[in-house]
Amino acid sequence: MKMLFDCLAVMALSLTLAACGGSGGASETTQPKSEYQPSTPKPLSADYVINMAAHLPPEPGEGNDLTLIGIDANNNGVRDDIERWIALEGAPESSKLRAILLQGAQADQRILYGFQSQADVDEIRQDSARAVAAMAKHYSTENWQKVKEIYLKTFNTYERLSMLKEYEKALSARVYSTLGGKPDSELFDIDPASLPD
Amino acid sequence: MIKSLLAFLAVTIWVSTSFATCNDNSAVIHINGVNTTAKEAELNAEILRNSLASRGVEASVELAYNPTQGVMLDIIQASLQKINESPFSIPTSTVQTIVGVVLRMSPTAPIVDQGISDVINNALIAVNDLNILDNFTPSDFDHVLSRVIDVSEKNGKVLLVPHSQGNFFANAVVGQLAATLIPKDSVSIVGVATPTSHIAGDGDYLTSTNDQVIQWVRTFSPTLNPLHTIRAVDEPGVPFFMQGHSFVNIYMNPELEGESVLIDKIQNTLNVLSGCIPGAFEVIISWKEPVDVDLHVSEPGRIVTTANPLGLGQLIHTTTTAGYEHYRLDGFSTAGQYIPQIHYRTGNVPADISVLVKSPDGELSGTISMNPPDMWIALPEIIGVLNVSFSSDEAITFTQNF
Repeated sequence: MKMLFDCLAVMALSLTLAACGGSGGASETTQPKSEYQPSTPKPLSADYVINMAAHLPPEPGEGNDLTLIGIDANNNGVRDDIERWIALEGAPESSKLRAILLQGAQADQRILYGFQSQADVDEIRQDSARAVAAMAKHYSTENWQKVKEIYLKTFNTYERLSMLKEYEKALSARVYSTLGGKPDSELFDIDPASLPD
Repeated sequence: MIKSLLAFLAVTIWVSTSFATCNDNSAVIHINGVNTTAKEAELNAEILRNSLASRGVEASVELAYNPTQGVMLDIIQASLQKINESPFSIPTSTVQTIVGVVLRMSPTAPIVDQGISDVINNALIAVNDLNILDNFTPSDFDHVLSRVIDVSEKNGKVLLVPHSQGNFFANAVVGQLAATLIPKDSVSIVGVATPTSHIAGDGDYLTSTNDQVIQWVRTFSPTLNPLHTIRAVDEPGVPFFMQGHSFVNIYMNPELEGESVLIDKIQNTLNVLSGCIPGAFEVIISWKEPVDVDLHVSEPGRIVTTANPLGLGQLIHTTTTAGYEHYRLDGFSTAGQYIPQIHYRTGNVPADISVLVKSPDGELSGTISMNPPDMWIALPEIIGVLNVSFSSDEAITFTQNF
């Protein structure tokens, strides 16, 4: 019976990937599950977010999907394809929205760097929850659709989706506090007041 | 003061309540439904927190994440939970059909048709082996139970606010409390979009009549009646059979009708749990004649009727012939005017309607004679007025005018 459910689980994962617009990379990539690699990206700055379009990394190309982490040429914790999407399509006209989307994208990417213990998982969740709480303060269906778009782009291969499922399984049924009651300085990586638009 | 066709009893309740004081030790735990990512579940909980905070409710809002295993396994899991709720009520073949229909309506249909359907069928045949349910037992929710125990030990209360499939887990958690020393009144549920046939522990719920998911579940198995209508809105990218079901975009949407009702229910239940309300307010009408008399209560922002019996309070008993109707309000969460109305709906003989109003500080009773009606009379023609006011020390003062 367990084998049957394992089999179903794998197929469900494949179906979810297909439904999410997966690139087909699942059958082409052979990257093993992540070896634990703590994430140490450069912190994002208000200056960078404001002038992002002028300093974007180049298109990462096909190599981007050959590893779990993908390509992050400027080592800011956001994969280059996603960084470009945020700047050029997601929020080209609003630095405040770009900052929130980048914060969420960093949290998503952290999942792909892996985790060894429940403490690691809880730490990643804390970052993700801060980003969600920040977005909830400026919630609109349009803005949330952009968050979902980034989520789908981040977990766009079978291996990446598998890592996401491992992470979500580790969160399963545990009870976590919401963070929206905390002051903005603890929620936003970049103070929205420091951004012009 | 008695009208021949229709009589009303008016009750004015002035309330000054501080929820921040009442809920300091309470925790509200959201449990998400199927096919919800961790990120979406976090958003659900945050939106709930923001909405409660905007109404002055200071309870800690928390998330118990019910992970998605992909839409297919989630549907199977929920189907099995539904079967387990009412053993043998649903033939396995029905579940197979349902899952098959859903999958064929999804973008993954071509993949399903190419062979996975055999695997699904084999899995669903195994439903007959109830051991399969071991894969989905609520033991995974021991963390929630631990949290309830933790809060309870600090004299706090826990309110579970599950959405959709999360209602099965919430019922299971409350059921497991029976095996603990935790007082039964330490935890309650306000279910949202519930596919269950009951709410454990006599909790409350909100399900929209426009919720397509619940309507679909109701075609093959009983659920609690959807009693509120939240108007349909455009939901881009949401399949028609999922529309009207979203926690954030429908039930917690401040631009729609459901959000205020849901927050009222949560406030009411928290206040009852916390014991910081003056107590229940009840109106009971009774009569012996074979006529249909209805008790309605006009509450702030809504009217509780036999067709819409859930509001801030609830019509907990109704009838269409001789008997009684009973309205109960467990907490005066919303300040304003509460007007019980008596409506002689159908019948051919006069009726003497006994009216009993109960509160923690006393009772009032009287009788109103009514004759066969043929019309509804608008509120300005109210007769019989009862004023109830609350002072700061929670004393209640009645002024009876009927």
